[in-house]
Amino acid sequence: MKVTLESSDGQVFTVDKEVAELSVIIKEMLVIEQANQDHPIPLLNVGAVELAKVIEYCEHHRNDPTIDDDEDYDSRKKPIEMDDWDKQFTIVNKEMMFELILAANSMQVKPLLHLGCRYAADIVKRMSPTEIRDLFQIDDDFTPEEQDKIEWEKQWTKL
Amino acid sequence: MLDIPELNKLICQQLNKHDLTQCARVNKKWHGNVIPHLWRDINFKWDREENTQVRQKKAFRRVVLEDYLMEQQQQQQGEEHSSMDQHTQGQSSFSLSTLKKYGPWIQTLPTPEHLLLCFNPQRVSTRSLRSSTRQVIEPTALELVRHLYQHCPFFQVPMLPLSTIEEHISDDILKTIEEFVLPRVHTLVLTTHPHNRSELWRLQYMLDRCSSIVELYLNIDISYTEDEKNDNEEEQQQEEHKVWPKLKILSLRKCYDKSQAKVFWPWLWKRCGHVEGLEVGEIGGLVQSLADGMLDHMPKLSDITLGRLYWTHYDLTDKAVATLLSDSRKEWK
Repeated sequence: MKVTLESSDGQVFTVDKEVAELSVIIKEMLVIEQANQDHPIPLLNVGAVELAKVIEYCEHHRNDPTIDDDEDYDSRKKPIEMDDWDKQFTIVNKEMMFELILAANSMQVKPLLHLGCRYAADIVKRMSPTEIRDLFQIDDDFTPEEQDKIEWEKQWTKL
Repeated sequence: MLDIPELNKLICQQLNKHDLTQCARVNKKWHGNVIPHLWRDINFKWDREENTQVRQKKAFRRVVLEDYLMEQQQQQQGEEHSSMDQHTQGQSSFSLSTLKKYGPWIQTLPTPEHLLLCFNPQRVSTRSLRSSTRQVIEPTALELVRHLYQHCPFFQVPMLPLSTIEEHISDDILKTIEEFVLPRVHTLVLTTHPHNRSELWRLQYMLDRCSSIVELYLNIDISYTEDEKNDNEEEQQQEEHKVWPKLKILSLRKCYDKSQAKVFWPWLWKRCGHVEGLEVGEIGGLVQSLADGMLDHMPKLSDITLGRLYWTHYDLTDKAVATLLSDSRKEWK
């Protein structure tokens, strides 16, 4: 069975139902609107570029076992598994990846959401605050005293 | 960082304390996003290198110590001119003490025993303090532990092994554990040997403090024989009939009672109204009491393990097994 999805900028995508159902939101909508599937499902927060990418991801992972519990993703218990395809998939610029995270969040595609968050975490890992500021073009709004105090408060986390 | 808290949570879960610290120093917004995750779990195991651990523990002690001294100082000043203070202390949250700000985020802490070790007075510590709070008498480790607990209203204790027969548990330490830790314990492994009636009372008091207990493992040896039971006591016991609301598993690993009245056990069974799983190891002389207790006070019991608990095999006589099972009303699995 096929399902049609419409991006925020009006582009229509047709995918297999089981692929679309990796999105919790779509899955729930399909249950509610069982009888009425003639018109495409509108995704108001997701642009065509991101939606194409999300669908690409879902196509590849259509047969994965579903993980419902968010706690299972907690990396301290179990690291998120990434296969070669996923690694290839995440080679995009960071703006695109953040858009993808937002899309995965609004569509509730949990595995992609966690993959994206891992990617985001990997970006800032082992970076200094200055490097992070440069990368994301944000300003330091701490006074020297505040920086001092933070330094003091965080001393117990130093490696 | 993204503006959606759930996403920040997912990202922060992937980062270790060091990375989180770096993120916290980026700017105020990042600081606010990262802080709850940085202070969520306090333990000193995330790095295997021993020197690092020692350094982290010392640093954590300094943070708590300074916080303690600062609060003492503020209290003294507050008594001198309380109205002035409200104007002079800035509105910025950065002027609050460390634990006032971050304590509410703390969800897990090391065991009381580890905290006490971590907070033991050290020779050089006050010299490295920031403020004018040097030259004061250093608080004891226990005072620091209490100070920390007082500022962590939401910490949880998933599992606590507690033995009151060890020498280093003083009465003050026990009081602190009773006050702050026991009400938050989910799983308690308790080893205790009451030698007289008042020690038994203490044990009952301790168990009463465990209001969120889910699993209770007991090694209890009541080793006094004299019978001091009086009528008053029985009346009191009938008056208060508390049931642990969350207790699901009761495990009697090694329990003995040499006293004649054996008042403790009926008291215990009465609190087990929600128990579903029961494990019995060695319970010399308590078989009949337990059988009665199961019948009268444990209506939800559905799973019983007799004799073998984990890797240890306890001896239960056939007669004891027969007594426990024959008095029960249901078909046991």
